[in-house]
Amino acid sequence: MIEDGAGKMTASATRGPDRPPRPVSPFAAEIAAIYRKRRRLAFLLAILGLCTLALLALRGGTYYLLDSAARLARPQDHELRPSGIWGHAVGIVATLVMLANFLYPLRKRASWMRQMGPVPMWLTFHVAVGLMTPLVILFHAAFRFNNLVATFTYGSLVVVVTTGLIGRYIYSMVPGTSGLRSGELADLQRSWQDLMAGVRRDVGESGAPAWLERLLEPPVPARESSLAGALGAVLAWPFTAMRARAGAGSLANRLSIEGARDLREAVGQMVRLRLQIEFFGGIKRLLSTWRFGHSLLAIFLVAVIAAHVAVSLAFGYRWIF
Amino acid sequence: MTRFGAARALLLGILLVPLAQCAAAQSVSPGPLSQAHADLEGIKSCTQCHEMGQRVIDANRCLVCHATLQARILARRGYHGSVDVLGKPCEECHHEHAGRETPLVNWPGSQNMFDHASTGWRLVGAHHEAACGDCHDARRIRAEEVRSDLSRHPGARTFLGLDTACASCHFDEHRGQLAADCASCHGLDGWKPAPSFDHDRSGYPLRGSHRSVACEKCHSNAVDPSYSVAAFPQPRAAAYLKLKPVDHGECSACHKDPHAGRLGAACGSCHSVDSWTAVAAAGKTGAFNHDRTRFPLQGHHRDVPCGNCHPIGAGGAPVLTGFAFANCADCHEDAHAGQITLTDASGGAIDCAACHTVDGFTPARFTLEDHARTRYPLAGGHQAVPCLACHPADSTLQKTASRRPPHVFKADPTRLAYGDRDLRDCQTCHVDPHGGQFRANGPGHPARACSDCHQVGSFRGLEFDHGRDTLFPLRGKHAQTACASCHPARGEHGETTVPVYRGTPFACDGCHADTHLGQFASTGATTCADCHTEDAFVPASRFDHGRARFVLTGAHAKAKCTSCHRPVTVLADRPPAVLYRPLPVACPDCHEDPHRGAFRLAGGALSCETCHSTAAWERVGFDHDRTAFRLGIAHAGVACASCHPAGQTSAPPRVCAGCHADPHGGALGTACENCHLEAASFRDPGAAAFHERTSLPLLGRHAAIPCESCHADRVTASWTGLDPRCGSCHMGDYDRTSTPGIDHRAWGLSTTCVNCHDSFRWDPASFPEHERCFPIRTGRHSGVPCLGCHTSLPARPVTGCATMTAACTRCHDCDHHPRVAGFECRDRKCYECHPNGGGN
Repeated sequence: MIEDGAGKMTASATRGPDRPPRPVSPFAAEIAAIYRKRRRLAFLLAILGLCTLALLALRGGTYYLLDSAARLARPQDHELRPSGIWGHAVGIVATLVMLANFLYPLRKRASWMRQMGPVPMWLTFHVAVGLMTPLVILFHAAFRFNNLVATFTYGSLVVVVTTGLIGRYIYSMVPGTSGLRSGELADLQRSWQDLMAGVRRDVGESGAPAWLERLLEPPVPARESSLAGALGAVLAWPFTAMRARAGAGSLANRLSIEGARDLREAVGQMVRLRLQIEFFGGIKRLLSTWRFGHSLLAIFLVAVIAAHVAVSLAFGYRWIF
Repeated sequence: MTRFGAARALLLGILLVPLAQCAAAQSVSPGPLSQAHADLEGIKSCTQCHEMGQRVIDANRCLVCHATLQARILARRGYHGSVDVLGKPCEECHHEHAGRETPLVNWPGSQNMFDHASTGWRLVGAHHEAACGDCHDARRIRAEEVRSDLSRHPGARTFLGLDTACASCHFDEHRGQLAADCASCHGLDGWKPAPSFDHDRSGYPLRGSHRSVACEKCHSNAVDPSYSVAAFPQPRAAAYLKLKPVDHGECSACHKDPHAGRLGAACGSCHSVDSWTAVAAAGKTGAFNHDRTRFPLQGHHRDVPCGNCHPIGAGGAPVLTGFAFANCADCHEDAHAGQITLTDASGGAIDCAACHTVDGFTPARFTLEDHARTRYPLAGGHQAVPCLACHPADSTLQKTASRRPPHVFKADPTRLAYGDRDLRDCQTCHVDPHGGQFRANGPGHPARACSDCHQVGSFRGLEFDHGRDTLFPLRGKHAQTACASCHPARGEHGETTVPVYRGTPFACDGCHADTHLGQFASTGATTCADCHTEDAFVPASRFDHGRARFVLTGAHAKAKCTSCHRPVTVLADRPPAVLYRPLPVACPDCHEDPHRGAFRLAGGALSCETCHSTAAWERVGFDHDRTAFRLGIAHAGVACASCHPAGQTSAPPRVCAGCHADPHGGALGTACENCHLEAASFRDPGAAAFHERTSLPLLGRHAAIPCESCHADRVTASWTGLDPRCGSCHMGDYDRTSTPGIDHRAWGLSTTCVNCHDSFRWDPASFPEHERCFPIRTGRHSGVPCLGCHTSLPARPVTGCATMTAACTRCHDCDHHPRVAGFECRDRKCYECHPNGGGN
């Protein structure tokens, strides 16, 4: 059993009686269980988030579709406005939940939190909260962006969330981050060799198209991979992999159904491995840079939120307090 | 650049952006301010309204700027000084930070739902219907403080500063003629009408009709020279009513004198303010006498409102002169729509007055005599027909509008003229109830006009003579039969139709069934009239049995018809019919032979009629004279059985002695017939005939006297040897003539009586001697008694024919005798010229 970058356990890339199976991690079962729990948590959090959004939409109704003058005429305006008892409450709750996002990095660093569940679970929580917070804050803002402080706060939130999504993508490209496979370069190259042999075997000695020949050329790690190059390769990887898979599909007539499927998977993995090998150092640096920026933006977001809250308190908007 | 250096740069750049914006108002503002507070934008101005740490804005901060409003609040004036608003935060109604275009006032519900009464000025009447902007116009603001606010804030809008005085908003349309207190006349529902306006408070209280006169009728329009379209409030128009001063001292100040001064200037002497038409009432009471005009009111004209004849002219005054009134048509529309044009004898048109009076158009004076001058004089029943029956209302006729309405006739004109329609044709008006039967439809059926039978008196009063006007004169029962019996009005299937007149059968069998079942049919038809009359079928009075094969005579004629004609059943489904023919006609066919064949002829046939007749069996038509013994008069009356007793088979004797005994005892022989004629009885032997054979035939009275007068009794008398001379019987008569007549013996007259007397007339005697001399049996002297001419009797002495006793002058007058030669008025002288007693 091998795992791809997405944590998906698959069979060997190729089938063949003469290919020895890859060694399996002794923690595979435990890791698999963790991922199962993670998927369940993600599902529950998604349901919770959707229900929350539905509740907020129903509570407001068509109020959120009105312009400022029309809203003033509505008796709901007193409650649903950002400073209203409902709007203000939504903002407070959403902010508190968003601040709970910092529990994830805290979990990764605080030893006293190690008993509070595995890090991936907290990551799932972190991602879910990060995705829901901007949406809920919209209802607090009543879908209006008159206040620059508030608008800037929201913009910062969106930026943080966006960087989080990017980082989550980069994270998946970094070798060894899944824990199921070694992140060493030698291991990557070994995997590459295995995949290439299998592809060669499936395709045959003759008939490999040029793009496949290029793909099958052994990747060479760059001595100095820049952040920009790594970032560009990472951002281009989905497209590269899609083209490669499409090319593999054109070779399906030579193989059986299972063989064609295995070929596509192998090609995709080879594209991935090529990227990881060639930008072996750059990808890690990219992730590290992203992490720093994401954290910084998050800190700034907190500062902006604090400024927004301070302004509100300064003008007497204390909610029920 | 290192990683951390890049991060610092990034952080610095990010932070610089919001810091740079901190100075901007929108950095903390929840939204742009309204247009009115636009100058308060900026973070430095936040505390002008907001108190830090206080959510709710203190109203006093608002009133720092809105000082005008503060004054009103303190004075408890206006909306903000009302109980509903006092103490409430401003932001409850005035929402800020909603943008420049968002109204600063959040109206509860809507602006139109705002209770204006909370401002201290309840909107009533037209004010309630007005839009807010109609009153809350900056140009209407009277409050100086508000005007100064507006001057400081151009473009600002406010509801403050208005005055409740009418003039503060409304232009004085009266141009200052009246007091400024508009409410003294006008209401809030509208300028017009002015409910509180009382003209009686003016110098001319309105009385009567003046109350209903429009203002502008008395108050003319004036033009405001200062009128400007751009003026605010804008006047309605440059023109306005000139309310004062208005000349009202005299009626003529407003009213034009329609009488042109002819009736003076004191209008009130005839007219009243209640109505011009009150003139009519005034005229009746003597206040206005229309008779003074050229058209005295008579009849209904007295009841006509003045305005009907005197319309209001262009000047608003009734037209009293200058219009025609001589003819009815000058005022009244022609209700006859020009159908008739009455002309007088000279051909000139006649006015309506020819038929109508002023007492009313109806009833018209159009009489029957007038109708007689029309194309259709009314006669008979037409005279009783209502006019409308012939002259109905016709909506197609166009009435001529009168020159001076409104005297119009509501009803449609009646159709009077019928153009070229033939009025002689009854069907012009009347429906032919006979269904056109009397139109010409072939030979023998010429067209018949209604007037041939009907008359104008009444359709039911017929001049119809069935005998004259039809081919079937009604006689007898036909004349008594109801018309419908022959002319039913019901069809074959029971439907009601027009009585059929023409085409009714004439023949008897067309109506009557042949009860004789064709016994009398000839060539297929029965001529009932041969026997029956129209008086009645029974009896068949026209029936003459004599035309039959068996003529009824005698007893046959008296016998009942049913004695010979018995009813027989011919058809099972028909009632029995009397058999008339053929029937046997011989006597034995009906009668039994009582003689038992004794009179059968040689061939065996009976010839009853030889002796018998139909008169009666008993009346035997037997002529005994054809036998060997002729029956005389005496024998004719003897019963047959006297000579022919029943059962006697031999012939009876023929001599007299065979049946009669001789009363003379044989003295006169056995030839009885010598005296006793057969025509007489034994007791009357027929003396006249017998005596003819004697010496004295019985003539005259001698024939009438009994035999015993001369021959004693008939049995024992002597029938022979008598003296036939007159004297033998009449000597006594001779002797008895002494008085008064002529004494025969004294005169010595002959005893031969026949000289003067005859057996037919004894008296008067013929006196033939006198006749020879002077006729007295004939001529003028016949019948004159003897002593009428003779002075005495006997008239002796007589010499020839001259007598001394004739006295002519006893009777004859000599004065008138023509003077002839030799005349002498002396008795018996006359005889010389008049020997026969004649005239000349």
